[in-house]
Amino acid sequence: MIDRTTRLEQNIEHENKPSIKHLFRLWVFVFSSTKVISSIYLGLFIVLSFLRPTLAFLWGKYITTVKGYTKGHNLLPAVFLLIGYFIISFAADLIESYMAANGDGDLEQLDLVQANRQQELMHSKMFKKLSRVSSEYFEIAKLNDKTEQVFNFAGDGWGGVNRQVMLNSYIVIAKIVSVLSIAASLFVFNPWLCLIVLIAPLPTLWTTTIGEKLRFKFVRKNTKLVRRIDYFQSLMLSSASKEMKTLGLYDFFYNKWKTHADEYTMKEKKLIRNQTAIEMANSFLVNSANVGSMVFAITLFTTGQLSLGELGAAISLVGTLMNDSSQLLSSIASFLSKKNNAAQFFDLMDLPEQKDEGKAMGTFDVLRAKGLKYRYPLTGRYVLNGIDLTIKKGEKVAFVGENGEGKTTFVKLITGLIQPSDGELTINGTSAGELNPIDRYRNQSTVMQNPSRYFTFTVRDNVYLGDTMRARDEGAIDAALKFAGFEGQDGDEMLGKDIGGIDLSGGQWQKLAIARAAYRNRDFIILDEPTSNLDPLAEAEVFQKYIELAEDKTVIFVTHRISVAALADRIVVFKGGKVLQDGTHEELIAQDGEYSRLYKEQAKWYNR
Amino acid sequence: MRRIVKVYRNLLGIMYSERPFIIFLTIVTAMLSGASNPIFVWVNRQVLNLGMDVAAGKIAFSEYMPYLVLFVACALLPQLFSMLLWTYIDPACELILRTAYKGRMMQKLKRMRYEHLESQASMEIIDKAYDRAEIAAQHLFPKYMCNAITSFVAVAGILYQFGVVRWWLPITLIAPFVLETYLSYINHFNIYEEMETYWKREREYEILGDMLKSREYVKENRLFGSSDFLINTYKSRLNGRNREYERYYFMYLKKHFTSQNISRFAQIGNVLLLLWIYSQGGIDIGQLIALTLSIFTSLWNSLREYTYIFQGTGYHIKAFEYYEKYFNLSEDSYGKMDEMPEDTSIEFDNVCFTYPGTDKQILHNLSFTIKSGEKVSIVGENGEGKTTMVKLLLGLFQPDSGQIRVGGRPLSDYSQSVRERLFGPVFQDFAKYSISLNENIGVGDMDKINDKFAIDAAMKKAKVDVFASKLAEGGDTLLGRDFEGGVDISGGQWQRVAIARAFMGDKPILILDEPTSQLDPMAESELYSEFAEMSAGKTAIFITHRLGSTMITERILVISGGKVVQSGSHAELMAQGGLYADMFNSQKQWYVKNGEVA
Repeated sequence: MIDRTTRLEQNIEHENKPSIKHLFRLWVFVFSSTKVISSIYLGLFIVLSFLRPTLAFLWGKYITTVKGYTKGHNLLPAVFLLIGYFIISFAADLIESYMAANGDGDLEQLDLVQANRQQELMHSKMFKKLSRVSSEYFEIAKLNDKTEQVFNFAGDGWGGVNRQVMLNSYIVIAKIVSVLSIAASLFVFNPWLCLIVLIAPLPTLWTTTIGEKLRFKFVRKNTKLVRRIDYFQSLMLSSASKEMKTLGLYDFFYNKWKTHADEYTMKEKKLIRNQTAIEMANSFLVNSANVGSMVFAITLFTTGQLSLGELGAAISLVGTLMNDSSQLLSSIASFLSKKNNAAQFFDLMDLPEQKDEGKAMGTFDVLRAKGLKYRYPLTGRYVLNGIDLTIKKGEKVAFVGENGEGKTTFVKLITGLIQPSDGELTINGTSAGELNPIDRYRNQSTVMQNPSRYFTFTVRDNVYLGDTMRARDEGAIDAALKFAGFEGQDGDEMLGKDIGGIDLSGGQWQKLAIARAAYRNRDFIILDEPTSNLDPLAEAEVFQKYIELAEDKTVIFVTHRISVAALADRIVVFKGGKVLQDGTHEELIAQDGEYSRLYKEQAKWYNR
Repeated sequence: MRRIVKVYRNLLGIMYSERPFIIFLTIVTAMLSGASNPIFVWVNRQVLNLGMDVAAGKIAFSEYMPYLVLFVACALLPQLFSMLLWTYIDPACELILRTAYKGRMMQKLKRMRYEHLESQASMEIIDKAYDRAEIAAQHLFPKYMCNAITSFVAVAGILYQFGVVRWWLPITLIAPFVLETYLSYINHFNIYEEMETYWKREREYEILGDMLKSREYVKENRLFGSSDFLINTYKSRLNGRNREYERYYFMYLKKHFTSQNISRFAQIGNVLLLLWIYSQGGIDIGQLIALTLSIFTSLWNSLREYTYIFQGTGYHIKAFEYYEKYFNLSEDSYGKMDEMPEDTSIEFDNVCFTYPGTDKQILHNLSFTIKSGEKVSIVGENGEGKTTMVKLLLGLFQPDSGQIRVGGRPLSDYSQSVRERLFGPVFQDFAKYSISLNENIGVGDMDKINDKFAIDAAMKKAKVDVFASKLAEGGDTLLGRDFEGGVDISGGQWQRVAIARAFMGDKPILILDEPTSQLDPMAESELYSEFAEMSAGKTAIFITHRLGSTMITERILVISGGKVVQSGSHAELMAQGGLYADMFNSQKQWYVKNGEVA
């Protein structure tokens, strides 16, 4: 099917190929998000890379000095060298331990400061992106998967790909500096020594790549398994446990968890075995080369080609160089291995955004749908299949019909959350596609079918969230709560039981959503089943209030309850993605069609 | 100290029962890699001294060879040992502990009282236990234990060589470390204590973060233009935590700095002492170099390992406290009565209830009786305690006072198996399991989870079969969007699945808590019509907002302010006037517009 929705489908289906380009983009992205702290880090790493070789020289110098010492002479030069050595090694150790340059930091490290800050800035950027992505993508389950995936590996301070990419890149830069400087100084002692030490760690590049590949493959293959394990664990800790307790379902779900967890463990064991083999082989190679070059240096020493001091310096340099070059190579490999994640990251971050541009909608005057069709992305069926409808300013219209007949979809089109696949939808004469989407949102008040429950905020905050663009107006919040008939809880109570606040009943939450929309107070009001959880008295009151709203306010409400619909000026009956009936309650009853069938079915329960 | 022993006994017990060989391997590897340190100090000295002799032509190179071989061995072995430790033993332990710990923790859930999941105090314990016990275990074994052994052997061996030079040298070497370790233990304990207090803050931004990526929220935030406000709130919450951490961190850093200087300055003092001893001819050049080097490297590292261990232990032992507290959370108690009661009458006798940790009493002396086989509607305004009452009846919470009786016996008299077979509940927020459709219904009666026939019958009763037949794989279709290939069904369809679940196993007491809130009017109407058939021979409680449905039950209880305010048949209550009549009329009036009644 080729229609307007097709482009959307292509965007969401698009997957970046893993490439260095995305890796560098990711690097730039993280660096520019955390400029200050990243620069400090990089600077410290580079300083560190100079300190170690300096130490080797001081050490060699010290040995030469003490070797040449004869009793009764001045001990001071040796003392000064030792103190110099001490100060620099102190500084190097400090930097190293505070930065966790080896990648295995612990809580007390400065690294946590960086990690925390990265988390703060990255998450904000990622959430911002999600809040700008064209809202229609949120109808597609695949976006969830993408979001979930990206949030799993990015943004987190400690374990996130952002920290790994940055740390590895710092190490690469710093170690290049130190490897070059040490290699040059070793070359002065003996060219051969330098060569052995430089070549020996090369296998690391290979083993690390293989190791990282194994891990990446493992993770990719087993993501689903891990998700299942996590799902069953969190299920048992969720509100579903009410049911598990009453029905005795724990064993059933525990076994599901256990089967998957065991399977994962078995697979991971195999992975560990393979990784161990590779790492052992690599470590053996590198260490042999390391020790080999030390022995080589010692042999040079025994033949008098190196002095005792030079031997001391050389051994120390060999150790540092070996260490640094294997770190350099493994960091290059693990840096490169993140290109898969980087590609996935930009799959999400590159999704087209909804921009605050286009024709302003202004105050609502008239809405026209002609031959309007809609299908959800990646589905083949038109949920709306040719809607013709006009709604004018000031009307109070009810949409009724059974589940799945297209009411909610049509409402989403009106709000601008989704765009027509085909046909025409105009507001105030401008086609929906040309209108500024953000401006459309700005001009309406909505109560969604599943209103958001803003936990960790107070009751009053929940109302204020209806319009954060204007200064908080406590009086208006009171009025909105009163309008919705919200009572029974103090407005300053924090919501959310698990953080020590309170929870509300389903009906109270719904009233809160109504209050939020009322606080927003726009002329174009859209309500999608706003009272399904309310008790009868509250429901009647809410609707009466909406109907009695001022003339210039337009109200569209979706309801299952025909009795409520009857209050509206005009009723539109949806069936099969089309408008089946349209008129006042009396007219439609008189027609004796779908509407009166629905009406009778419900009224019979009250006919006593 | 007793706590540490206890924790280790627990840990090693688990390891021993799973893979005793690992413990053995760990200890041997740790000891060997520890021992190689002092040997290396000695070898270094020999290599240097004799090397000079070789250079001077005093001895032949062949005589020198064995020392070179030893040098190679001492340089290579520790690396290999640590490789073995970190790439094999450590991950292997992690796997064992993960399965063993998580397994135990999950099994606890079965016995734990439900009310803990609704209490902040308990949730904090649960959260921390799940988050940290595993990592703590990993740190304590093999990491800390192994490092402790290695370092002990290394330190002892190296100190011996210093002791040979001057008997008092070991003391000047070790004393500053003891002081430093003590001070940093205290400091660390403080920072961890501080971090414990971040839990609530962290929960606050985590919960908000989850909202910011959940699509229903994102849509609403978009409509209301509240995204930026919420993201800024998220950022400032996280920032608050970070700043708090940094403030504390840098404050503590100063202390840490001071305490670390103690051993650092002792270090420079000791190497200068060695230099002095050398200048007096007390040691040879090889010894001087080897010992000085060890003060800067192996001895220093080994001793510092102890400092680390003492720093971290506090935190990880603390995590174990949560683990222990978690296991001590109160558990369900059941009675001995193992037979299903013939009579399934329900009686609330002066039941009072307040949610733990709150001070608002939800139920005040709630009393009513429902006869065996009776069908009762419970109506009332939002937030009056109807759902709470259900939770009490199901035994999820215990009344503060008063008694709940089923079949004339206190609920607590019945055994677990009876309790599980007694009720068929449909919760307001029923569970949507991401498992197959058949399983979703089958869990209503675990004995019949594989009984296709029973499941089909329940499906039919709840009209699930209507849409089940349209699913690609019928009853085997995976539901929910959590996993790939899962099919998401509508809210109304989920509700029917939940209803079908309640029909499994022929439970004598049906409890329906707003079972039609997500159904459309036609479906709702159908369910009402079928209710009589569904509940035939059962005691049934129907909680509802939609008063039309009271027609399908024999009696109506009106709850207000945590009490029963009215009770009787529809006709009786209408005649009485009062709350029920008001509510009914307010709904009815809409169907009686302009005098026409359908």
